[in-house]
Amino acid sequence: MRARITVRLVFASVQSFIAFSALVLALLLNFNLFGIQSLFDIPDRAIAFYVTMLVVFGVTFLISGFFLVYEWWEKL
Amino acid sequence: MSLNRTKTKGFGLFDIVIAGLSGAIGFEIFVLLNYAYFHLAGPDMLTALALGGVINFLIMLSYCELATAMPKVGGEYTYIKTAYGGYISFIFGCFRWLSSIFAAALAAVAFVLQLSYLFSAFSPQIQNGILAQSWVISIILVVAMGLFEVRGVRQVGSIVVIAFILLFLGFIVGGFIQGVGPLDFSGAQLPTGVSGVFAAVVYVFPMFIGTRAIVAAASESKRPEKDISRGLIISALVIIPIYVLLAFVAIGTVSSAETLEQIPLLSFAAGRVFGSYGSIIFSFAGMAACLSALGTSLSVQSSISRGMSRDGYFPKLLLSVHSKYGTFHVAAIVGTAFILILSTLGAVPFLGYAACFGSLLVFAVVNLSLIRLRQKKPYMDRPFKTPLYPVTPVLGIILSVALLFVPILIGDGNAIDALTSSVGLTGIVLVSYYLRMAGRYRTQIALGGIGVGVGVCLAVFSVFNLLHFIPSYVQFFVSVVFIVTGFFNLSAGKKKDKLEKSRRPEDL
Repeated sequence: MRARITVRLVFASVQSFIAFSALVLALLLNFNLFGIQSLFDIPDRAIAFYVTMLVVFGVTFLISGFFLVYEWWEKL
Repeated sequence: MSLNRTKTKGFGLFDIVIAGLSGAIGFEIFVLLNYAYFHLAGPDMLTALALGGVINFLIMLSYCELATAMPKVGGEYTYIKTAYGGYISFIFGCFRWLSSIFAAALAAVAFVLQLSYLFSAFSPQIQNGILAQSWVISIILVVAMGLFEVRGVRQVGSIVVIAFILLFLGFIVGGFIQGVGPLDFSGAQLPTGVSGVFAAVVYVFPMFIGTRAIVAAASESKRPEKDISRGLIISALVIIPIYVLLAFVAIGTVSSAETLEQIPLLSFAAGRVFGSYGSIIFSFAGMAACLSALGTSLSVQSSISRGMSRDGYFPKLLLSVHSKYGTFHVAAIVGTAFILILSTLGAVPFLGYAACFGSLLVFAVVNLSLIRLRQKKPYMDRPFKTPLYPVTPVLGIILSVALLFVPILIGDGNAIDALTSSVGLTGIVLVSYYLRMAGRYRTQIALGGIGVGVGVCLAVFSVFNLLHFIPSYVQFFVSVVFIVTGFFNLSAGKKKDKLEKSRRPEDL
Protein backbone atom coordinates (compact mmCIF):
# COMPACT_ATOMS: atom_id res chain seq x y z
CA MET A 1 0.00 0.00 0.00
CA ARG A 2 2.78 2.38 1.05
CA ALA A 3 4.79 1.52 -2.08
CA ARG A 4 1.76 2.23 -4.28
CA ILE A 5 1.26 5.64 -2.66
CA THR A 6 4.94 6.44 -3.16
CA VAL A 7 4.79 5.43 -6.85
CA ARG A 8 1.74 7.64 -7.36
CA LEU A 9 3.49 10.56 -5.68
CA VAL A 10 6.63 10.10 -7.79
CA PHE A 11 4.67 9.97 -11.07
CA ALA A 12 2.50 12.92 -10.04
CA SER A 13 5.58 14.98 -9.15
CA VAL A 14 7.30 14.11 -12.45
CA GLN A 15 4.14 15.03 -14.39
CA SER A 16 3.81 18.34 -12.51
CA PHE A 17 7.47 19.08 -13.23
CA ILE A 18 6.99 18.31 -16.96
CA ALA A 19 3.87 20.49 -17.08
CA PHE A 20 5.64 23.34 -15.31
CA SER A 21 8.56 23.02 -17.75
CA ALA A 22 6.07 23.21 -20.65
CA LEU A 23 4.72 26.50 -19.25
CA VAL A 24 8.25 27.89 -18.85
CA LEU A 25 9.05 26.79 -22.42
CA ALA A 26 5.89 28.58 -23.64
CA LEU A 27 7.08 31.76 -21.93
CA LEU A 28 10.57 31.45 -23.44
CA LEU A 29 9.12 30.79 -26.90
CA ASN A 30 6.65 33.67 -26.71
CA PHE A 31 9.28 36.24 -25.81
CA ASN A 32 12.06 34.46 -27.75
CA LEU A 33 14.32 34.52 -24.71
CA PHE A 34 17.84 33.10 -25.23
CA GLY A 35 17.08 32.86 -28.97
CA ILE A 36 15.01 29.76 -28.31
CA GLN A 37 12.90 30.10 -31.49
CA SER A 38 15.92 29.61 -33.72
CA LEU A 39 17.32 26.93 -31.38
CA PHE A 40 14.23 24.76 -31.96
CA ASP A 41 14.00 25.92 -35.59
CA ILE A 42 10.34 26.92 -35.26
CA PRO A 43 8.95 29.17 -38.05
CA ASP A 44 7.48 32.52 -36.90
CA ARG A 45 3.93 31.74 -38.03
CA ALA A 46 3.90 28.54 -35.94
CA ILE A 47 4.98 30.20 -32.66
CA ALA A 48 1.43 31.14 -31.61
CA PHE A 49 0.29 27.55 -32.21
CA TYR A 50 3.13 26.00 -30.16
CA VAL A 51 2.71 28.53 -27.34
CA THR A 52 -1.06 27.88 -27.17
CA MET A 53 -0.54 24.10 -27.17
CA LEU A 54 2.14 24.29 -24.49
CA VAL A 55 -0.01 26.54 -22.27
CA VAL A 56 -3.14 24.36 -22.66
CA PHE A 57 -1.29 21.09 -22.00
CA GLY A 58 0.88 22.68 -19.32
CA VAL A 59 -2.10 23.91 -17.31
CA THR A 60 -4.09 20.67 -17.83
CA PHE A 61 -1.29 18.38 -16.69
CA LEU A 62 -0.23 20.65 -13.87
CA ILE A 63 -3.76 20.43 -12.41
CA SER A 64 -3.83 16.68 -13.09
CA GLY A 65 -0.52 16.20 -11.25
CA PHE A 66 -1.63 18.41 -8.37
CA PHE A 67 -4.77 16.30 -7.89
CA LEU A 68 -2.64 13.23 -7.20
CA VAL A 69 -0.25 15.16 -4.96
CA TYR A 70 -3.27 16.55 -3.10
CA GLU A 71 -4.62 13.00 -2.60
CA TRP A 72 -1.30 12.00 -1.06
CA TRP A 73 -1.44 15.12 1.13
CA GLU A 74 -4.95 14.19 2.31
CA LYS A 75 -3.78 10.72 3.33
CA LEU A 76 -0.94 12.08 5.47
CA MET B 1 -10.91 57.29 -5.94
CA SER B 2 -12.58 55.68 -3.01
CA LEU B 3 -15.08 57.06 -0.61
CA ASN B 4 -14.89 55.13 2.61
CA ARG B 5 -17.24 56.04 5.40
CA THR B 6 -17.11 54.38 8.76
CA LYS B 7 -20.14 56.20 10.14
CA THR B 8 -23.41 54.31 9.99
CA LYS B 9 -25.71 57.35 9.68
CA GLY B 10 -26.19 56.77 5.95
CA PHE B 11 -25.40 58.83 2.85
CA GLY B 12 -27.32 61.96 1.85
CA LEU B 13 -27.53 63.35 -1.71
CA PHE B 14 -24.27 65.31 -1.33
CA ASP B 15 -22.41 62.17 -0.18
CA ILE B 16 -23.89 60.21 -3.07
CA VAL B 17 -22.81 62.82 -5.67
CA ILE B 18 -19.34 62.94 -4.12
CA ALA B 19 -19.22 59.12 -4.29
CA GLY B 20 -20.02 59.30 -8.03
CA LEU B 21 -17.45 62.03 -8.69
CA SER B 22 -14.99 60.17 -6.48
CA GLY B 23 -15.35 57.12 -8.72
CA ALA B 24 -15.09 59.15 -11.92
CA ILE B 25 -12.33 61.62 -11.07
CA GLY B 26 -9.35 59.37 -11.00
CA PHE B 27 -5.99 58.68 -12.53
CA GLU B 28 -7.47 57.97 -15.99
CA ILE B 29 -7.56 61.67 -16.97
CA PHE B 30 -3.81 61.84 -16.27
CA VAL B 31 -2.84 59.03 -18.67
CA LEU B 32 -5.56 58.21 -21.18
CA LEU B 33 -5.66 61.53 -23.02
CA ASN B 34 -2.30 60.89 -24.69
CA TYR B 35 -3.22 57.90 -26.84
CA ALA B 36 -6.60 59.32 -27.83
CA TYR B 37 -5.06 62.68 -28.82
CA PHE B 38 -1.78 61.73 -30.49
CA HIS B 39 -2.80 58.43 -32.13
CA LEU B 40 -6.52 58.49 -32.76
CA ALA B 41 -8.49 61.71 -32.81
CA GLY B 42 -6.25 64.77 -32.59
CA PRO B 43 -8.18 67.89 -31.47
CA ASP B 44 -11.46 66.05 -32.09
CA MET B 45 -10.70 64.16 -28.91
CA LEU B 46 -13.01 66.78 -27.35
CA THR B 47 -15.88 65.38 -29.41
CA ALA B 48 -14.85 61.88 -28.30
CA LEU B 49 -14.89 63.02 -24.66
CA ALA B 50 -18.33 64.59 -24.98
CA LEU B 51 -19.64 61.49 -26.76
CA GLY B 52 -18.16 59.22 -24.07
CA GLY B 53 -19.85 61.34 -21.39
CA VAL B 54 -23.23 61.17 -23.16
CA ILE B 55 -23.00 57.39 -23.59
CA ASN B 56 -22.11 57.05 -19.91
CA PHE B 57 -25.10 59.23 -19.01
CA LEU B 58 -27.44 57.02 -21.09
CA ILE B 59 -26.14 53.90 -19.37
CA MET B 60 -26.42 55.53 -15.95
CA LEU B 61 -30.15 56.11 -16.62
CA SER B 62 -30.55 52.32 -16.70
CA TYR B 63 -28.45 52.04 -13.54
CA CYS B 64 -30.80 54.57 -11.87
CA GLU B 65 -33.80 52.26 -12.33
CA LEU B 66 -31.99 49.10 -11.19
CA ALA B 67 -30.13 50.71 -8.25
CA THR B 68 -33.30 52.30 -6.83
CA ALA B 69 -35.29 49.08 -7.31
CA MET B 70 -32.56 46.90 -5.78
CA PRO B 71 -30.42 49.03 -3.43
CA LYS B 72 -28.62 45.92 -2.18
CA VAL B 73 -24.96 45.02 -1.81
CA GLY B 74 -23.51 43.60 -5.01
CA GLY B 75 -24.51 46.22 -7.62
CA GLU B 76 -24.33 44.87 -11.17
CA TYR B 77 -23.79 41.31 -9.95
CA THR B 78 -27.13 41.47 -8.08
CA TYR B 79 -29.03 43.02 -11.04
CA ILE B 80 -27.76 40.41 -13.50
CA LYS B 81 -28.38 37.59 -11.04
CA THR B 82 -31.98 38.74 -10.48
CA ALA B 83 -32.59 38.97 -14.23
CA TYR B 84 -30.71 35.95 -15.57
CA GLY B 85 -29.73 33.73 -12.63
CA GLY B 86 -26.41 32.33 -11.44
CA TYR B 87 -24.60 31.28 -14.62
CA ILE B 88 -24.75 34.63 -16.45
CA SER B 89 -24.08 36.59 -13.25
CA PHE B 90 -21.02 34.42 -12.61
CA ILE B 91 -19.61 35.15 -16.08
CA PHE B 92 -20.21 38.88 -15.83
CA GLY B 93 -19.06 38.94 -12.21
CA CYS B 94 -15.79 37.53 -13.58
CA PHE B 95 -15.64 40.27 -16.22
CA ARG B 96 -16.21 42.91 -13.56
CA TRP B 97 -13.45 41.30 -11.49
CA LEU B 98 -11.07 41.22 -14.47
CA SER B 99 -11.91 44.82 -15.26
CA SER B 100 -10.89 45.81 -11.70
CA ILE B 101 -7.66 43.83 -12.04
CA PHE B 102 -6.77 45.54 -15.34
CA ALA B 103 -7.71 48.96 -13.92
CA ALA B 104 -5.43 48.36 -10.91
CA ALA B 105 -2.56 47.35 -13.21
CA LEU B 106 -3.18 50.46 -15.31
CA ALA B 107 -3.08 52.61 -12.14
CA ALA B 108 0.30 51.09 -11.19
CA VAL B 109 1.73 51.79 -14.67
CA ALA B 110 0.29 55.32 -14.66
CA PHE B 111 1.91 55.96 -11.26
CA VAL B 112 5.32 55.11 -12.73
CA LEU B 113 4.74 57.50 -15.67
CA GLN B 114 3.76 60.32 -13.33
CA LEU B 115 6.75 59.62 -11.10
CA SER B 116 9.13 59.70 -14.07
CA TYR B 117 7.61 62.98 -15.29
CA LEU B 118 8.02 64.50 -11.82
CA PHE B 119 11.77 63.83 -12.00
CA SER B 120 12.04 65.14 -15.56
CA ALA B 121 11.93 68.69 -14.16
CA PHE B 122 15.19 68.39 -12.21
CA SER B 123 16.88 65.11 -13.09
CA PRO B 124 16.40 63.58 -16.56
CA GLN B 125 18.81 60.78 -15.57
CA ILE B 126 16.49 59.65 -12.77
CA GLN B 127 13.55 59.96 -15.16
CA ASN B 128 15.25 57.66 -17.67
CA GLY B 129 16.18 55.27 -14.86
CA ILE B 130 12.55 55.14 -13.71
CA LEU B 131 11.29 54.48 -17.25
CA ALA B 132 13.94 51.77 -17.76
CA GLN B 133 13.05 50.02 -14.49
CA SER B 134 9.31 50.77 -14.62
CA TRP B 135 8.32 47.13 -14.14
CA VAL B 136 10.37 46.87 -10.91
CA ILE B 137 8.69 50.02 -9.52
CA SER B 138 5.28 48.67 -10.55
CA ILE B 139 5.96 45.42 -8.67
CA ILE B 140 7.12 47.27 -5.52
CA LEU B 141 4.06 49.54 -5.68
CA VAL B 142 1.56 46.70 -6.19
CA VAL B 143 3.12 44.60 -3.40
CA ALA B 144 3.05 47.62 -1.02
CA MET B 145 -0.60 48.38 -1.83
CA GLY B 146 -1.45 44.68 -1.52
CA LEU B 147 0.07 44.69 1.97
CA PHE B 148 -2.00 47.78 2.87
CA GLU B 149 -5.10 45.93 1.67
CA VAL B 150 -4.18 42.90 3.83
CA ARG B 151 -3.62 45.17 6.81
CA GLY B 152 -6.90 47.01 6.18
CA VAL B 153 -5.51 50.53 5.71
CA ARG B 154 -8.16 52.95 4.37
CA GLN B 155 -8.23 56.58 3.35
CA VAL B 156 -11.05 59.11 3.20
CA GLY B 157 -11.81 60.09 -0.38
CA SER B 158 -14.31 62.97 -0.16
CA ILE B 159 -11.75 65.66 0.81
CA VAL B 160 -9.42 64.45 -1.94
CA VAL B 161 -12.26 64.64 -4.51
CA ILE B 162 -13.07 68.23 -3.60
CA ALA B 163 -9.35 69.09 -3.73
CA PHE B 164 -9.17 67.55 -7.22
CA ILE B 165 -12.20 69.49 -8.46
CA LEU B 166 -10.67 72.76 -7.16
CA LEU B 167 -7.33 71.89 -8.78
CA PHE B 168 -8.99 71.16 -12.11
CA LEU B 169 -11.08 74.34 -11.94
CA GLY B 170 -7.90 76.32 -11.21
CA PHE B 171 -6.26 74.72 -14.24
CA ILE B 172 -9.23 75.53 -16.51
CA VAL B 173 -9.49 79.16 -15.29
CA GLY B 174 -5.69 79.57 -15.49
CA GLY B 175 -5.71 78.19 -19.03
CA PHE B 176 -8.40 80.60 -20.16
CA ILE B 177 -6.64 83.56 -18.46
CA GLN B 178 -3.42 82.61 -20.27
CA GLY B 179 -5.42 82.33 -23.48
CA VAL B 180 -5.28 78.78 -24.81
CA GLY B 181 -4.61 78.54 -28.54
CA PRO B 182 -7.44 78.20 -31.05
CA LEU B 183 -8.28 74.61 -31.95
CA ASP B 184 -8.42 73.32 -35.47
CA PHE B 185 -11.46 71.09 -35.79
CA SER B 186 -10.93 70.28 -39.47
CA GLY B 187 -10.87 66.56 -40.20
CA ALA B 188 -7.46 66.89 -41.90
CA GLN B 189 -5.61 66.76 -38.57
CA LEU B 190 -7.14 63.50 -37.39
CA PRO B 191 -4.46 60.81 -37.15
CA THR B 192 -6.88 57.94 -37.91
CA GLY B 193 -9.78 59.65 -39.65
CA VAL B 194 -13.34 60.03 -38.40
CA SER B 195 -13.43 56.40 -37.22
CA GLY B 196 -10.49 57.33 -34.99
CA VAL B 197 -12.81 59.67 -33.08
CA PHE B 198 -15.09 56.74 -32.25
CA ALA B 199 -12.08 54.60 -31.34
CA ALA B 200 -10.89 57.44 -29.08
CA VAL B 201 -14.22 57.24 -27.21
CA VAL B 202 -13.22 53.74 -26.04
CA TYR B 203 -9.92 54.99 -24.63
CA VAL B 204 -11.43 58.00 -22.85
CA PHE B 205 -14.53 56.11 -21.71
CA PRO B 206 -12.87 54.68 -18.52
CA MET B 207 -12.72 58.29 -17.26
CA PHE B 208 -16.51 58.33 -16.93
CA ILE B 209 -17.50 54.84 -15.90
CA GLY B 210 -16.46 55.40 -12.29
CA THR B 211 -19.75 57.23 -11.67
CA ARG B 212 -21.31 53.80 -11.20
CA ALA B 213 -19.46 53.69 -7.83
CA ILE B 214 -22.72 55.15 -6.50
CA VAL B 215 -24.41 51.74 -6.74
CA ALA B 216 -21.91 50.47 -4.15
CA ALA B 217 -23.14 53.21 -1.80
CA ALA B 218 -26.82 52.46 -2.55
CA SER B 219 -27.24 50.09 0.40
CA GLU B 220 -25.98 52.83 2.77
CA SER B 221 -28.15 55.62 1.39
CA LYS B 222 -30.66 57.38 3.66
CA ARG B 223 -33.24 57.69 0.86
CA PRO B 224 -32.13 55.31 -1.90
CA GLU B 225 -35.41 55.68 -3.81
CA LYS B 226 -34.65 59.38 -4.49
CA ASP B 227 -30.98 60.09 -3.87
CA ILE B 228 -29.42 57.24 -5.88
CA SER B 229 -31.02 58.23 -9.18
CA ARG B 230 -30.43 61.96 -8.57
CA GLY B 231 -26.82 61.29 -7.55
CA LEU B 232 -26.15 59.17 -10.65
CA ILE B 233 -27.66 61.76 -12.99
CA ILE B 234 -25.93 64.76 -11.36
CA SER B 235 -22.48 63.17 -11.23
CA ALA B 236 -22.76 61.76 -14.80
CA LEU B 237 -23.70 65.25 -16.10
CA VAL B 238 -21.24 67.28 -13.99
CA ILE B 239 -18.25 65.20 -15.04
CA ILE B 240 -18.76 65.88 -18.78
CA PRO B 241 -17.99 69.66 -18.81
CA ILE B 242 -15.16 69.18 -16.29
CA TYR B 243 -13.35 66.69 -18.54
CA VAL B 244 -14.12 68.46 -21.82
CA LEU B 245 -12.86 71.79 -20.48
CA LEU B 246 -9.78 70.14 -18.93
CA ALA B 247 -8.94 68.50 -22.25
CA PHE B 248 -9.69 71.76 -24.12
CA VAL B 249 -7.14 73.66 -22.04
CA ALA B 250 -4.65 70.75 -22.11
CA ILE B 251 -4.61 70.30 -25.88
CA GLY B 252 -4.77 74.05 -26.40
CA THR B 253 -1.31 74.34 -24.83
CA VAL B 254 0.39 71.75 -27.05
CA SER B 255 0.23 70.88 -30.71
CA SER B 256 -0.23 67.32 -31.92
CA ALA B 257 3.10 67.71 -33.75
CA GLU B 258 4.92 67.68 -30.43
CA THR B 259 5.98 64.18 -29.50
CA LEU B 260 4.68 63.69 -26.00
CA GLU B 261 3.83 60.03 -25.99
CA GLN B 262 5.89 59.27 -22.90
CA ILE B 263 4.83 62.47 -21.11
CA PRO B 264 1.46 62.71 -19.35
CA LEU B 265 -0.39 65.36 -21.38
CA LEU B 266 -2.20 66.92 -18.43
CA SER B 267 0.94 67.33 -16.29
CA PHE B 268 2.79 68.79 -19.28
CA ALA B 269 -0.05 71.25 -19.94
CA ALA B 270 -0.13 72.21 -16.24
CA GLY B 271 3.53 73.18 -16.66
CA ARG B 272 2.58 75.48 -19.53
CA VAL B 273 -0.30 77.05 -17.57
CA PHE B 274 1.22 77.40 -14.07
CA GLY B 275 4.95 77.14 -14.79
CA SER B 276 7.17 74.31 -13.49
CA TYR B 277 5.27 74.22 -10.17
CA GLY B 278 2.16 73.27 -12.13
CA SER B 279 3.84 70.17 -13.53
CA ILE B 280 5.04 69.15 -10.09
CA ILE B 281 1.61 69.70 -8.48
CA PHE B 282 -0.17 67.78 -11.24
CA SER B 283 2.39 64.96 -11.11
CA PHE B 284 1.79 64.62 -7.37
CA ALA B 285 -1.97 64.82 -7.94
CA GLY B 286 -1.68 62.12 -10.63
CA MET B 287 0.32 59.88 -8.31
CA ALA B 288 -2.18 60.39 -5.48
CA ALA B 289 -5.02 59.51 -7.87
CA CYS B 290 -3.15 56.38 -9.03
CA LEU B 291 -2.54 55.20 -5.47
CA SER B 292 -6.15 55.84 -4.55
CA ALA B 293 -7.40 54.01 -7.66
CA LEU B 294 -5.07 51.10 -7.02
CA GLY B 295 -6.37 50.80 -3.45
CA THR B 296 -9.99 51.06 -4.63
CA SER B 297 -9.51 48.46 -7.37
CA LEU B 298 -7.89 46.09 -4.88
CA SER B 299 -10.90 46.47 -2.57
CA VAL B 300 -13.40 46.10 -5.44
CA GLN B 301 -11.75 42.95 -6.84
CA SER B 302 -11.61 41.49 -3.32
CA SER B 303 -15.31 42.29 -2.77
CA ILE B 304 -16.37 40.71 -6.10
CA SER B 305 -14.25 37.58 -5.65
CA ARG B 306 -15.62 37.13 -2.11
CA GLY B 307 -19.19 37.60 -3.36
CA MET B 308 -18.69 34.84 -5.92
CA SER B 309 -16.90 32.71 -3.37
CA ARG B 310 -19.92 33.11 -1.05
CA ASP B 311 -22.16 31.90 -3.90
CA GLY B 312 -19.95 28.83 -4.38
CA TYR B 313 -18.35 29.81 -7.71
CA PHE B 314 -14.89 30.58 -6.35
CA PRO B 315 -13.09 28.56 -3.61
CA LYS B 316 -14.27 29.26 -0.05
CA LEU B 317 -10.63 29.92 0.81
CA LEU B 318 -11.11 33.48 -0.53
CA LEU B 319 -13.43 34.18 2.42
CA SER B 320 -10.64 33.54 4.95
CA VAL B 321 -10.23 36.36 7.47
CA HIS B 322 -6.81 37.34 8.78
CA SER B 323 -6.53 36.49 12.48
CA LYS B 324 -4.69 39.71 13.37
CA TYR B 325 -6.00 42.39 10.96
CA GLY B 326 -9.52 41.05 10.39
CA THR B 327 -9.18 41.54 6.61
CA PHE B 328 -9.86 39.15 3.73
CA HIS B 329 -6.18 38.56 3.15
CA VAL B 330 -6.42 35.58 0.76
CA ALA B 331 -8.69 37.48 -1.66
CA ALA B 332 -6.32 40.47 -1.45
CA ILE B 333 -3.22 38.34 -2.08
CA VAL B 334 -4.77 36.49 -5.05
CA GLY B 335 -5.84 39.79 -6.68
CA THR B 336 -2.44 41.35 -5.96
CA ALA B 337 -0.70 38.44 -7.71
CA PHE B 338 -2.76 38.97 -10.90
CA ILE B 339 -2.23 42.76 -10.82
CA LEU B 340 1.50 42.19 -10.30
CA ILE B 341 1.82 40.15 -13.50
CA LEU B 342 -0.26 42.57 -15.59
CA SER B 343 1.46 45.71 -14.30
CA THR B 344 4.84 44.47 -15.53
CA LEU B 345 3.48 44.75 -19.11
CA GLY B 346 3.66 48.54 -18.79
CA ALA B 347 1.42 49.14 -21.84
CA VAL B 348 -1.07 51.91 -21.05
CA PRO B 349 -3.32 51.63 -24.17
CA PHE B 350 -3.49 47.82 -23.85
CA LEU B 351 -4.46 47.97 -20.17
CA GLY B 352 -6.85 50.87 -20.85
CA TYR B 353 -8.75 48.92 -23.49
CA ALA B 354 -8.71 45.72 -21.41
CA ALA B 355 -10.13 47.58 -18.37
CA CYS B 356 -12.80 49.08 -20.62
CA PHE B 357 -13.62 45.72 -22.26
CA GLY B 358 -15.03 44.12 -19.10
CA SER B 359 -16.93 47.26 -18.11
CA LEU B 360 -18.55 47.67 -21.54
CA LEU B 361 -19.68 44.05 -21.58
CA VAL B 362 -21.13 44.46 -18.08
CA PHE B 363 -22.89 47.68 -19.18
CA ALA B 364 -24.46 45.88 -22.15
CA VAL B 365 -25.76 43.09 -19.92
CA VAL B 366 -27.00 45.50 -17.23
CA ASN B 367 -29.11 47.20 -19.94
CA LEU B 368 -30.33 43.77 -21.07
CA SER B 369 -31.18 42.96 -17.44
CA LEU B 370 -33.31 46.09 -17.25
CA ILE B 371 -35.36 45.00 -20.29
CA ARG B 372 -35.65 41.45 -18.95
CA LEU B 373 -36.77 42.61 -15.51
CA ARG B 374 -39.41 44.90 -17.02
CA GLN B 375 -40.87 41.79 -18.69
CA LYS B 376 -40.17 39.27 -15.92
CA LYS B 377 -41.18 41.43 -12.96
CA PRO B 378 -43.54 44.11 -14.27
CA TYR B 379 -44.94 44.83 -10.79
CA MET B 380 -41.58 45.27 -9.12
CA ASP B 381 -41.33 48.50 -7.09
CA ARG B 382 -39.42 50.97 -9.29
CA PRO B 383 -38.97 54.39 -7.63
CA PHE B 384 -37.21 55.59 -10.80
CA LYS B 385 -38.17 54.54 -14.32
CA THR B 386 -35.70 54.91 -17.15
CA PRO B 387 -37.09 57.55 -19.56
CA LEU B 388 -37.86 56.68 -23.20
CA TYR B 389 -37.96 52.94 -22.46
CA PRO B 390 -37.03 50.77 -24.41
CA VAL B 391 -35.01 53.23 -26.54
CA THR B 392 -32.58 54.13 -23.72
CA PRO B 393 -31.52 50.58 -22.69
CA VAL B 394 -31.44 49.42 -26.34
CA LEU B 395 -29.16 52.36 -27.18
CA GLY B 396 -27.06 51.47 -24.13
CA ILE B 397 -26.60 47.92 -25.43
CA ILE B 398 -25.84 48.98 -29.02
CA LEU B 399 -23.37 51.69 -28.00
CA SER B 400 -21.55 49.47 -25.47
CA VAL B 401 -21.06 46.71 -28.04
CA ALA B 402 -20.18 49.20 -30.81
CA LEU B 403 -17.54 50.86 -28.62
CA LEU B 404 -15.93 47.46 -28.07
CA PHE B 405 -15.50 46.75 -31.74
CA VAL B 406 -14.74 50.14 -33.35
CA PRO B 407 -11.00 50.10 -32.40
CA ILE B 408 -10.76 46.56 -33.77
CA LEU B 409 -12.45 47.52 -37.03
CA ILE B 410 -9.90 50.30 -37.61
CA GLY B 411 -7.12 47.77 -36.90
CA ASP B 412 -5.90 49.25 -33.60
CA GLY B 413 -3.17 46.83 -32.46
CA ASN B 414 -3.68 47.45 -28.73
CA ALA B 415 -7.39 46.71 -29.00
CA ILE B 416 -6.75 43.51 -30.97
CA ASP B 417 -4.17 42.30 -28.41
CA ALA B 418 -6.44 43.21 -25.50
CA LEU B 419 -9.45 41.54 -27.12
CA THR B 420 -7.43 38.36 -27.79
CA SER B 421 -6.31 38.30 -24.15
CA SER B 422 -9.86 38.98 -22.98
CA VAL B 423 -11.25 36.14 -25.12
CA GLY B 424 -8.57 33.83 -23.66
CA LEU B 425 -9.51 34.90 -20.14
CA THR B 426 -13.20 34.38 -20.98
CA GLY B 427 -12.31 30.82 -22.01
CA ILE B 428 -10.58 30.27 -18.67
CA VAL B 429 -13.65 31.70 -16.86
CA LEU B 430 -16.01 29.30 -18.69
CA VAL B 431 -13.76 26.28 -18.17
CA SER B 432 -13.36 27.08 -14.47
CA TYR B 433 -17.15 27.37 -14.14
CA TYR B 434 -17.71 23.92 -15.65
CA LEU B 435 -14.89 22.39 -13.59
CA ARG B 436 -16.39 23.90 -10.46
CA MET B 437 -19.86 22.60 -11.31
CA ALA B 438 -18.57 19.15 -12.32
CA GLY B 439 -16.86 18.65 -8.96
CA ARG B 440 -13.38 17.48 -8.10
CA TYR B 441 -13.66 13.74 -8.81
CA ARG B 442 -15.39 14.07 -12.16
CA THR B 443 -12.74 16.60 -13.15
CA GLN B 444 -10.09 14.10 -12.05
CA ILE B 445 -11.67 11.42 -14.27
CA ALA B 446 -11.77 13.85 -17.22
CA LEU B 447 -8.14 14.84 -16.69
CA GLY B 448 -7.18 11.16 -16.36
CA GLY B 449 -8.83 10.43 -19.72
CA ILE B 450 -7.04 13.37 -21.34
CA GLY B 451 -3.76 12.16 -19.82
CA VAL B 452 -4.13 8.64 -21.23
CA GLY B 453 -5.17 10.00 -24.66
CA VAL B 454 -2.30 12.48 -24.90
CA GLY B 455 0.13 9.86 -23.60
CA VAL B 456 -0.87 7.36 -26.29
CA CYS B 457 -0.58 10.07 -28.98
CA LEU B 458 2.87 11.02 -27.72
CA ALA B 459 3.93 7.35 -27.77
CA VAL B 460 2.87 7.13 -31.44
CA PHE B 461 4.69 10.42 -32.18
CA SER B 462 7.85 9.07 -30.54
CA VAL B 463 7.76 5.87 -32.64
CA PHE B 464 7.46 7.84 -35.91
CA ASN B 465 9.56 10.79 -34.61
CA LEU B 466 6.92 13.31 -35.66
CA LEU B 467 8.04 16.01 -33.20
CA HIS B 468 11.54 16.24 -34.67
CA PHE B 469 12.78 18.94 -32.26
CA ILE B 470 12.22 16.74 -29.18
CA PRO B 471 14.35 13.57 -28.87
CA SER B 472 12.16 10.47 -29.27
CA TYR B 473 13.30 8.94 -25.94
CA VAL B 474 12.11 12.13 -24.15
CA GLN B 475 8.75 11.88 -25.94
CA PHE B 476 8.47 8.23 -24.93
CA PHE B 477 9.33 8.97 -21.29
CA VAL B 478 6.74 11.79 -21.13
CA SER B 479 4.12 9.55 -22.77
CA VAL B 480 4.69 6.82 -20.15
CA VAL B 481 4.36 9.37 -17.31
CA PHE B 482 1.13 10.77 -18.80
CA ILE B 483 -0.43 7.33 -19.34
CA VAL B 484 0.43 6.11 -15.81
CA THR B 485 -0.77 9.28 -14.04
CA GLY B 486 -3.82 9.27 -16.33
CA PHE B 487 -4.78 5.80 -15.08
CA PHE B 488 -4.09 6.84 -11.47
CA ASN B 489 -6.43 9.84 -11.87
CA LEU B 490 -9.08 7.68 -13.57
CA SER B 491 -9.04 5.04 -10.84
CA ALA B 492 -9.00 7.54 -7.95
CA GLY B 493 -11.72 9.69 -9.48
CA LYS B 494 -14.04 6.77 -10.32
CA LYS B 495 -13.69 5.28 -6.83
CA LYS B 496 -14.45 8.57 -5.10
CA ASP B 497 -17.27 9.46 -7.51
CA LYS B 498 -19.01 6.11 -6.76
CA LEU B 499 -18.53 6.69 -3.04
CA GLU B 500 -20.03 10.18 -3.33
CA LYS B 501 -23.01 8.91 -5.33
CA SER B 502 -23.70 6.12 -2.80
CA ARG B 503 -23.60 8.66 0.05
CA ARG B 504 -25.86 11.21 -1.60
CA PRO B 505 -29.28 9.57 -0.87
CA GLU B 506 -28.39 9.21 2.83
CA ASP B 507 -27.35 12.84 3.00
CA LEU B 508 -30.63 13.89 1.45
